[in-house]
Amino acid sequence: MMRLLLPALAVATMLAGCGPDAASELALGKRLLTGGAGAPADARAAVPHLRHAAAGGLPAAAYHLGLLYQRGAPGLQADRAAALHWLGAAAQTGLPQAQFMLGQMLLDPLSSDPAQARLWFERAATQEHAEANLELAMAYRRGDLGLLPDAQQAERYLMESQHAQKHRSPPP
Amino acid sequence: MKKTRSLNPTRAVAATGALLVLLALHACGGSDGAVPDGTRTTLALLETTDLHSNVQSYDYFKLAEDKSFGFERVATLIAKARTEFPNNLLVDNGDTIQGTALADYQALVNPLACDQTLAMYKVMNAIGYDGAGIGNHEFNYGLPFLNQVTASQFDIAGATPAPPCAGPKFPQVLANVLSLKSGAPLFNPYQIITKTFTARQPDGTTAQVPVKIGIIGFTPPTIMSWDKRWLDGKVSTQGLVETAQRYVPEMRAKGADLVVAISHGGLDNSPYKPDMENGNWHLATVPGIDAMLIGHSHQVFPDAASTVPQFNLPGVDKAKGTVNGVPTVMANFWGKHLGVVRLELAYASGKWSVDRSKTAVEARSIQNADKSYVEPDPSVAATIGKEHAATIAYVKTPVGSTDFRMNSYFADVGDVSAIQIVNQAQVAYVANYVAANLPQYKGLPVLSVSAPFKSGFGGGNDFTDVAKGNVAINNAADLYLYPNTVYAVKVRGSDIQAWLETAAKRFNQIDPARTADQALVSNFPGYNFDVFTSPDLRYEIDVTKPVGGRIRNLTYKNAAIDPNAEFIVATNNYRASGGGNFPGLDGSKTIYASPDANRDVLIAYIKAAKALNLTANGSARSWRFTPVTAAGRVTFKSAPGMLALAQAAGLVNVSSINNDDGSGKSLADYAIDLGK
Repeated sequence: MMRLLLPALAVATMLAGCGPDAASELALGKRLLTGGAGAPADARAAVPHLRHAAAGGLPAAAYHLGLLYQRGAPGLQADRAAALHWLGAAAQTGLPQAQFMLGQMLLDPLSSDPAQARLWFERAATQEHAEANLELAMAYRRGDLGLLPDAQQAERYLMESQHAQKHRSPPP
Repeated sequence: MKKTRSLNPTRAVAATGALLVLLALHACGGSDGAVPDGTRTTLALLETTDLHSNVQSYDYFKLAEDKSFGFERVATLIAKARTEFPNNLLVDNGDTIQGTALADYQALVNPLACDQTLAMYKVMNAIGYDGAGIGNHEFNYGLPFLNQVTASQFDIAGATPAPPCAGPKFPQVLANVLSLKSGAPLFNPYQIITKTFTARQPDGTTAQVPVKIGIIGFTPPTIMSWDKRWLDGKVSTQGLVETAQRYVPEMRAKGADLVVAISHGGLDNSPYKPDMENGNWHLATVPGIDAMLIGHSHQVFPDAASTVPQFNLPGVDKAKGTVNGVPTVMANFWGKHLGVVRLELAYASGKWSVDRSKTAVEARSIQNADKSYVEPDPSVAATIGKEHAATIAYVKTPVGSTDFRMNSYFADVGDVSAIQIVNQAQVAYVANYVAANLPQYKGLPVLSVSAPFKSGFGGGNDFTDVAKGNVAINNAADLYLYPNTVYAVKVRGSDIQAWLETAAKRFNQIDPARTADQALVSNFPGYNFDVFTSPDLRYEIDVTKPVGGRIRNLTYKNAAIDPNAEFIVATNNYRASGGGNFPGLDGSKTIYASPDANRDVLIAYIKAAKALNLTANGSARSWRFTPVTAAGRVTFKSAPGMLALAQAAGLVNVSSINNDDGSGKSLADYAIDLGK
């Protein structure tokens, strides 16, 4: 029995340093974002938990903070700079959903940085993000995002988008 | 009786036999295991991956050749590599049997008979593969289909034992997917293949020597969520590393001279988890693996210029093609590339070992330096002539008919003849799903948006145009250009208003006082011009107002929309996940991310509706321009000579300016009278 217990305990202790705490903070933050089970959504209350989870190294938490600041919520003012900050942090760690959303924000007239947006779309696309692949397909079709129209590349990205949808990653 | 010296018959036979053996050994250089130390042999591991059933260089929806991919072209590279490396082992990495209309035809439309071999495997049999792995997409059509077409006998819950069907004539290996019923791997986890290779002996002569190559297969453990509906309760997966740690020593113990991992997945150096999708960076650290043939990510490796993050990790040499020191190749997808791993083996003390200084890895493209493509191997198309023709016939099969021309020539100014049918299909699909599976949303209205994906950006031919008469499967690609899947979002009335404000960026701001011509349509892409076509929802777009203040008189069931009322809107994965940067649409409002393509949902709807007519399926305009009298002309472009279509759609305020706008793109100028 001891033989089994000790390694389990060791693993639990190791994980306690980072994982479960941040993970449970993320879970709580996400629960507060959506509400449900009789409790209304409370975006403001979600923020400290998501921040804690983000500080604990969870890119999904940074991603949710980014989205939250981008769209705003009852009791929480939209904040473009904060949205860019948090989406940027999540995108840097490689989260394709964050890379895609950051790219979208950079296309906004307030940023208007299609070259940078394209780089983020490309990074997300290589991780089989279906929508980033579609974005690049349409950009190659039209010659947007600083690209020259290229029917073959457009076709390639279209097919990649289709392919990626058969195995999409769960939402962060 | 005179005693003569004659050979005893038994002895004679034995002596002759010995002589024959000697002769035979001499002829083949003496390969009875007595390989002299210092013997060397060069071999090439050849990899195809992610063929996705692209046997021919052919796009079944466009019904046209596309030379940029196809097994028939990589087959040419295979033949060339086999000439260059007579000692070779040809292996496929998986994602082989799904991905084209041909694959769907053989799996779903006209399911393959047990005594028939899948087109993809037929051509692989003909070319002569030595082995193959199993990718995640092999599971897309379910386990009974996979069992049949791979000539397997899966021992899984619910399966009735039966003799194997026709299938590949080469071993398929997969070590990390287990039957829950038997606890054993679903396929052979590995296979040791004895190849006879030409080798150079220390005395300068050549000899035929046996080399035992062990192949072991892996697939992404994440198949359990991707194909949950087929796999739940039937199989389980194990991580790559622990699976390899178990089997690689076993393969060595059984005499494998070389161990080659056929692993369907890419590279990821984040901390190892047994369920990680791309575990090969970690797999490379398991002792005893001589080479990795990888795939899944549809990328090229090695490639010194690659900017792909997974090839720019520590331990990955993207120029040489090694991962943590293990020679590794990824041959792109759809037969665009052939992976070639050249290994030189040296024999010493009874075993072969790889002389790593001589290893060379490359991914060879079917595209030549001058951008042309290598010629196809004609035997490939000849092998599947019947299947190819049947697939073409299938995509041309009428699924219904229409009494009106479904077109997008005037979608920018209100015609919905190519949009309403998409919205109807999406509404029906989502409403069914919600009724059956999401009781918490019962009672919420289900609306739908779609956009004119083809709206003239590429010129006069870049419009949707489906003629009156039969509607076939390939027409669905014209009605729905993109390979999206149906998503449903839950939004409020205020969100719909904001959604439409964004869609209305399609139009320039019109100054009614200006006497000069003003172009109506902006650079905002047509694919983001989302349009409702519900009799319940009405709105106006006031193009004289700036962006953000254009949507007027938005009503639901003839009353101003309640900004707090909840609605379900059927759309696609792109829009629901944040594409086009529509306010609040960032994935957080998605209540259903369906696995079904909008195009397939559309086909199913047309099949059920059978005969489409203009009144029911092509004329429900939810929107109009807010009437305004402009001093000058408000103009837009469409294909020339189409005015009658505008009139048929009831757009009496449209007039033709010319039949050629001078752009050289087969476009003409039209005007719209916003006062009418």
